[in-house]
Amino acid sequence: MAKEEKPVPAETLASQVRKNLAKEIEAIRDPGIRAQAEKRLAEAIEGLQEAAPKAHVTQKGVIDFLSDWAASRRSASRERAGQRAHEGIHIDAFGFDRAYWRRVEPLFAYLYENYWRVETSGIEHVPTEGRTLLVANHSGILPWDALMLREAVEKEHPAQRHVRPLIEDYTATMPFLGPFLRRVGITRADQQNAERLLNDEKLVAIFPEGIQGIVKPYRERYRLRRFGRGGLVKLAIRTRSPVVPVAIVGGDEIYPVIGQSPWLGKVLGLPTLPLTPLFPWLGAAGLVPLPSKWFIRFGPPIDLAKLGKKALDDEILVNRLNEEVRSKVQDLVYEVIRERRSAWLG
Amino acid sequence: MESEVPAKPDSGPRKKKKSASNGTLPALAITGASGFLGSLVLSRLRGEERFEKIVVLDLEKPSLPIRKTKFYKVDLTDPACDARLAEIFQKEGVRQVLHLSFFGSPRRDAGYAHEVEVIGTLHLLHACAQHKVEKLATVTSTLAYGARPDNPNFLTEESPLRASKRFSHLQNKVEAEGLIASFAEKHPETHVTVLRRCMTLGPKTDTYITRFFSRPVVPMILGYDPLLQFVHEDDVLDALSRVIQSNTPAGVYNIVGEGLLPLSTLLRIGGKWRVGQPGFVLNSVVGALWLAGAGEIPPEFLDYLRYLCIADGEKAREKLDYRPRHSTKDTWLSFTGEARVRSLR
Repeated sequence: MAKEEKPVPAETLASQVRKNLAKEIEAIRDPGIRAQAEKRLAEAIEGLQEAAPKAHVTQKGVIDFLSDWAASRRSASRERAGQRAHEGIHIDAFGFDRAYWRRVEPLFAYLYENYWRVETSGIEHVPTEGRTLLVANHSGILPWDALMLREAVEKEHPAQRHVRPLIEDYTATMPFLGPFLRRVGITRADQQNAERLLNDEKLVAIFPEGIQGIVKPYRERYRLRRFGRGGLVKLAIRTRSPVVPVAIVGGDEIYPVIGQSPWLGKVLGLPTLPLTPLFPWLGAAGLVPLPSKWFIRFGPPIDLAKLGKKALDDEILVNRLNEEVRSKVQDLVYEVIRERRSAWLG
Repeated sequence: MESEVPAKPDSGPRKKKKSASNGTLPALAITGASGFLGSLVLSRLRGEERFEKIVVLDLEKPSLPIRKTKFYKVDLTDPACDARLAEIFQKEGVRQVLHLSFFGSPRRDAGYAHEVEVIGTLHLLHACAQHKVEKLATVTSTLAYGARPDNPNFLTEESPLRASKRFSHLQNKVEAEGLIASFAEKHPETHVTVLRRCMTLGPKTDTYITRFFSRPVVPMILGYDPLLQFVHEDDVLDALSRVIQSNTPAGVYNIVGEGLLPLSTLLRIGGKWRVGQPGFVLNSVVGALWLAGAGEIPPEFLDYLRYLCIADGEKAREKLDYRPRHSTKDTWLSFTGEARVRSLR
């Protein structure tokens, strides 16, 4: 088609294009391609008529027009594909993937509401903003308690804050589980990690019992172990964060630990392997947690920041404070246990 | 000085074009100038007129003709080279040394690599001590921190260098850094700056890391998905030129790109095929290929696909005023785009 400089009405152009191209399309032998070309032509003409029936446009070669149109379609779809590739990447410095958390959160919401029927109280003790250190008792072989604590604050707290739990190396570096936990915002417990998160004004949860807490035998349930070596007190003083004690009751019943096998653990590359009536005898199925009734209770904040950095040098004071925090959490746990009638029905 | 090879006249060391402006920088000596980073630095300094002189020290003459350069053939593994280096520094009035004779990729002849990187550094430090050089800058790698399960998420400059003892490529850097650190302590009059760059990508960078990630298929270790960070070669050069051209505080700095992404996400947005393999399979395959001379990844590198080794770039941001222009994601995306173009060619 010859190109004309003079603008013509779009409608005229459309009919002209249709007439001229009909002949060209008829000449196409392959029926598939012909059908495609006809469809494209119809779409293009429709678009042209819809866009500006009365507007004057410069007549362009039909082939040019169609190829331009196809190119613009292609580039648009490429752009969309490009956006798809990059959108949804909201991964923070610790590898917490918000989009992924939103995808898997319904599972934990189900566990929270229907499976363990968690009852949360004292949520008003969690500040709406600013750095805060939640100190909780630890239980379970897998960090269900950390996930339920997350869920509790996200569901019940008016500010729907994300809790950033820190868990012991045992679980954080486990294959498959480690990357999953990292994606849902659980980080390896480390003094530097904790400090960095708190300095970012995050809500951090720690389980100072560490591995001793998760392999606690069933008969010693809810008797809190030693709280590490006072790292939590130093952390709170150094970052000037309020400490909120948290009792998580119900977690100690999901895996009744009857013993541990450091020897089997060694084979699997773990410091120890807890044994329950079901695990590891039933393999992975033995890791299905039992449906106990859970309670999560937040206690009033403890202000350690007022002590000032000088207190850091006084190891005896640090140790005493550490013990004090531990007894606060322990008291809270006993308080809940006294109130509940059954571990399974609540 | 019989082995001295004077630069060609066209490279113009004899040009009487002494810039009288007070922005003149003292003579700079570069070791390893024809290496991967050295040649990048030289091409960056091509338009830089402020240096009084650039003394290029290497085994081979760099192909790039640059004004005001003077080339000396120096073998850092030569036991007598420290005296010779001191002599050259004396003669050329060198006041700044940029030490870049480190290998970008692991070498099969680990003994030679050790001689060049560790013993070579030792010789250079002897010469620097003798001549009382004002400034010494070098570039090593954050991978020397080592990928360990018990690493904090962000390694600061104070973290110990714990690269695997068997990964000799990085172990040499650890040893060289140890020598440089004790030199800095003993000679407070010399301004010592060490830049630790993380995995560097870019169109001109060609190391085992770029080759590993430019393949269409990248292995992942089943059950592991570490966070990774990258820095663009231009940003490393920016940081380096900042150090050699201005008065930046001495010390060790991590030079990293902003942000980090998990390996799986990187491979997804880079359009790579992920192949998950159990760790022991990958270890033995990669180890066998490396021993056979067919692979270029030593098996110890697989730790970096398993555990965290992320450096914190805050100190460089604060003290060097270093602002990377490319984030980890941008660096990676431009790299994978380029890799695709390269493979089409």
